[in-house]
Amino acid sequence: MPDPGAVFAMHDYALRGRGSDCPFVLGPMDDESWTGARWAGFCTAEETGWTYDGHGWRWEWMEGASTLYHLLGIYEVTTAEGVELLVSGMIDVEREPLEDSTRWWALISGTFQSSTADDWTGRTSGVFLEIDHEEADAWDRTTLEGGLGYDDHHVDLIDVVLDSRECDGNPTGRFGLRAPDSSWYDLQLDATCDGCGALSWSGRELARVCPDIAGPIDELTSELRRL
Amino acid sequence: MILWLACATGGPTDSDPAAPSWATAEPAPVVPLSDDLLLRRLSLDLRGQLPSVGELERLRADPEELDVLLAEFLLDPRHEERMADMFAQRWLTRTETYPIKYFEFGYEDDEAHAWRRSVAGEPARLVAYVAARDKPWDEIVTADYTIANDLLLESWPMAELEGREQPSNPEWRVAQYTDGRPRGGVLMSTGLWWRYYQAIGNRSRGEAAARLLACTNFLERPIVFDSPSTLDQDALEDAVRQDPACQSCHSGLDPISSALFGFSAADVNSPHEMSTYHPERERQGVTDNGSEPGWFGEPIYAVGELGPVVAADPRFASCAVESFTEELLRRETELDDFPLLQDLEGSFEQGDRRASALITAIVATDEYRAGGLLPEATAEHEKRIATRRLMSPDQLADSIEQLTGYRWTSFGYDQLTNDVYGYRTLTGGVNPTVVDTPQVGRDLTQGLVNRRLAQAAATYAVEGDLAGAGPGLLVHVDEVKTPADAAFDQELDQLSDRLHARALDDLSREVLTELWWATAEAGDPVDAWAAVVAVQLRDPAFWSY
Repeated sequence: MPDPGAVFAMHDYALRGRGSDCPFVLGPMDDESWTGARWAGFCTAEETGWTYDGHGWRWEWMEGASTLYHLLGIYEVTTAEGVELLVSGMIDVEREPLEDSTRWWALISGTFQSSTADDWTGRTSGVFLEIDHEEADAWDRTTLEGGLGYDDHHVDLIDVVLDSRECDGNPTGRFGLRAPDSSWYDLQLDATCDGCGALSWSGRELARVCPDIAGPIDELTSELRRL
Repeated sequence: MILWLACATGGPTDSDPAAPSWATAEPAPVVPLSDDLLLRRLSLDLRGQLPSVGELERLRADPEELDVLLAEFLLDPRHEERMADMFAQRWLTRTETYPIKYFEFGYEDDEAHAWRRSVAGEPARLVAYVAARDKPWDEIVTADYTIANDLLLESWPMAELEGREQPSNPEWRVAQYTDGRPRGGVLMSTGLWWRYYQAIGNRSRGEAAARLLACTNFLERPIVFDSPSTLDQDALEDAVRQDPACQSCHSGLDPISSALFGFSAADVNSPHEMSTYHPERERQGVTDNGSEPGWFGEPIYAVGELGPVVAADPRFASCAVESFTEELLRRETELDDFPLLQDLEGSFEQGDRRASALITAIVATDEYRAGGLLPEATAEHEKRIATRRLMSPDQLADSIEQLTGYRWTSFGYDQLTNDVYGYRTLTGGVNPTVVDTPQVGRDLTQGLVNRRLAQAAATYAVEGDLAGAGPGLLVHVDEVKTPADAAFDQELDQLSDRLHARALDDLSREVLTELWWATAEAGDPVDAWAAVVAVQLRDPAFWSY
């Protein structure tokens, strides 16, 4: 599962090779309340040999009790060792403390790739995913909507919900897996909360299956918490 | 759309006594073109250039040669170029305002025009390749390949396809995308979807697909409703999905838009996002515009099905017929054209949906071959039937180059094929974002551009020819021959034949001779011949056909 934190980390790493005049980096102006930095450059940093092509902007700010994290970029950065970092899109994350719980919401949209990373940015081809996660001491709930490309696979999630209070964490909603011929296999999970559902292909029902997707979901929510 | 409408209403047959007037084709009240001028029209329409003197002589020696020459034109390498120009104009792909810029792919300013032309060329050249190779027309939406040149191969995720028959223009080659997009001909063309890039709900792409491939123009449908604020996105989407007036279009448009969500970019200014197909977003339309993918009521479960579904839609074949007919007759078709289009569609289907069968049928019609109108022609006939056609900027540029070797360029820009540093619109052409219909008649700006073009091209050719190193436009005279020499009249005859495909009349000969003397006295024979040639290039007999 794509965790937004990996892209934020990649973005921060990309600026480690900045030189004295490449790329051009600008922080918030005096009258601006965000923290972070924006940069732009089509250049090679003399001191490090890293090349910059494009622009990026990461910023954070508070809105009431919420903290918002935003990353926007269209760039390719190549390190002196030849590691290629590609950011082409945007990520929004909001962390909102509620009365008895904390809510994380994230929208990841674009292509975020690192040629050597061992996290999802080393394996993804593209993503458009909305994640809504709320967590309290005794329960948590995650909603997923969108699609992602991963290791030459492409999945689609429609109204996928994992709610510890209602289904013991078993998912509901629709999962799609794309076949190489561009057809889709769909799993529409039952409302009976048993984690099982009807598998169909191109609109035709094939079988009833019970997949295990709790692992990736746990991984994702823990990454969200790290932000 | 006309055929579809008529079919949907159960169009009557010829034997139906209650048949309305449009049910049978009325003979057009026209005077046919002479064979020479018909050959000229065919050559310009099918090859974008003038017939050679040799071709004219073949026809004069044997009028039956017309069919042979027509067949040769359809096999001529320039036919593919002409089809590319024709569809680029019809589909309004030659824009200069792509969201992605040439420099983002590492190209310099002097490569900008060529790069934009390449992007625009991709879908049009795929269509032209199918047409000129006489492949089944369905292939424009089912092909597993596209057509690309070096600039596109460098810019986009694609590779040359070995072992395929190559386009006639050696700068272009058969290629295939390598980013996992399904086959689908122009439906999977990055060039097309850069031109029609995404608006809210990807609807601009759905609208374009319906208009270009089914001749269904959602934007022309009349609607009456209480408009919500266009600034309130949620209210607008609610209206689109629920208001019956909105749904009259969006129930058809949105499923097509949904089927093209693999081209949806997170940022339209990102070269990577816009160049790459995104399988993971193929189904995003279901969420974004609330519609499952489909094509006019036919559900699409896999994007790879889209092409075959489009090809199986009766609107697709009808649209091909409508498109070629409108381009070759140089007018929009109307309800009255139903019998004509029905006949042509019959020829198209009998010819296994190959372009040559359709083109041959269209150019055989009385209307195509019209050189004038009979006295009984009505004002409506006069308005509809194009007895003379204005050369498009492409035809003009190619014909001038063919005759004189001159191509009007400036800063790397072809002056007749762009509007950034050129005169495409002023010459009567289309500019996709401003002028979407080619000019029909002459006007002041077209005359001004023609004048400058004629002067420059004539001077270029004459200077070269009289120095012994020119394009061969002047073949009988040299710097010392004057109207007193027989070669002078031979040259005027030869020029009239090549430029206008007609014999020079006495008055024109007299005027041209006077012009030659007057200019030679003020300058020299080079100036004099340049003036004579320029005048003939500015003659309506040259730039119309």
